[in-house]
Amino acid sequence: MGRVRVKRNRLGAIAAALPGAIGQGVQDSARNLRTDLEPKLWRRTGELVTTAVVVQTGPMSAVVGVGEEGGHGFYAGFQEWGTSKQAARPVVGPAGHQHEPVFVRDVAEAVRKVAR
Amino acid sequence: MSTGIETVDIIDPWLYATLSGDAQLVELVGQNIGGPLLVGDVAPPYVTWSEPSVRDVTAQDGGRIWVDTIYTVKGVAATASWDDVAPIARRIDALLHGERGVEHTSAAGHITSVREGVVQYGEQADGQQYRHLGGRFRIRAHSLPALAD
Repeated sequence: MGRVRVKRNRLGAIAAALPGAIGQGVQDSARNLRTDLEPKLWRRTGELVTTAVVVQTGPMSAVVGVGEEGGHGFYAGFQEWGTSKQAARPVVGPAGHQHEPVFVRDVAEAVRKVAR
Repeated sequence: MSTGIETVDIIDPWLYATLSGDAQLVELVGQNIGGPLLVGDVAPPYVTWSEPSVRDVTAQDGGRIWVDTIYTVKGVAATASWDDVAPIARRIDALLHGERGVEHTSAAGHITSVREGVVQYGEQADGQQYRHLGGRFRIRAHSLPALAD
């Protein structure tokens, strides 16, 4: 059996770069989701759109939210989940659901870039 | 390959039959179990689910493998106490998730259901408190070819 000689080993560098790349992929994907979500949000006064935010919750995590709890747009939850007398009109959950394959693609692409 | 309209062919009938066919849940809410059209027509307590978010999962050749859906299923009660609505939510969870998700196969198709999170919030309208409690369920379904006689 012939000997294998490693001429170039980038595994260490790739591993070191992965957390940053994944984090970037997560942030990019979260921003894209927020952009996709905006035109779909319930519109009456236009206030809710101003409450759609991306919050970075960690190096590799982010939350896309609409409506401030107890503040502007708090009623987004009633639209999304329904009330005792009004059926739910979900927008945010379905947007996230539709975005799942995009999220996987965005993060995979970010990982691919550092592995090149 | 999965064909048809899986939500109305497979999932909705299973959801309704599973929930309305459970004696314990019927004891808690009577026959007040149904989809979005139920809301506003019946007084709480009731069990309802929202219109699902649906995404097709397809193979590279375009053939549909299954549908991936998210249903919100919750109990609603006119109460200020979670204790009053919790038994309804627990029963929904037992039926649609069990211990590790549930599977169901019928002549129409195959279903898996897993809860992905709790849905919980309060509401006040006209001086009356309401409590909403249930879950967000990922339900996947694919049709089965008609079984040969």
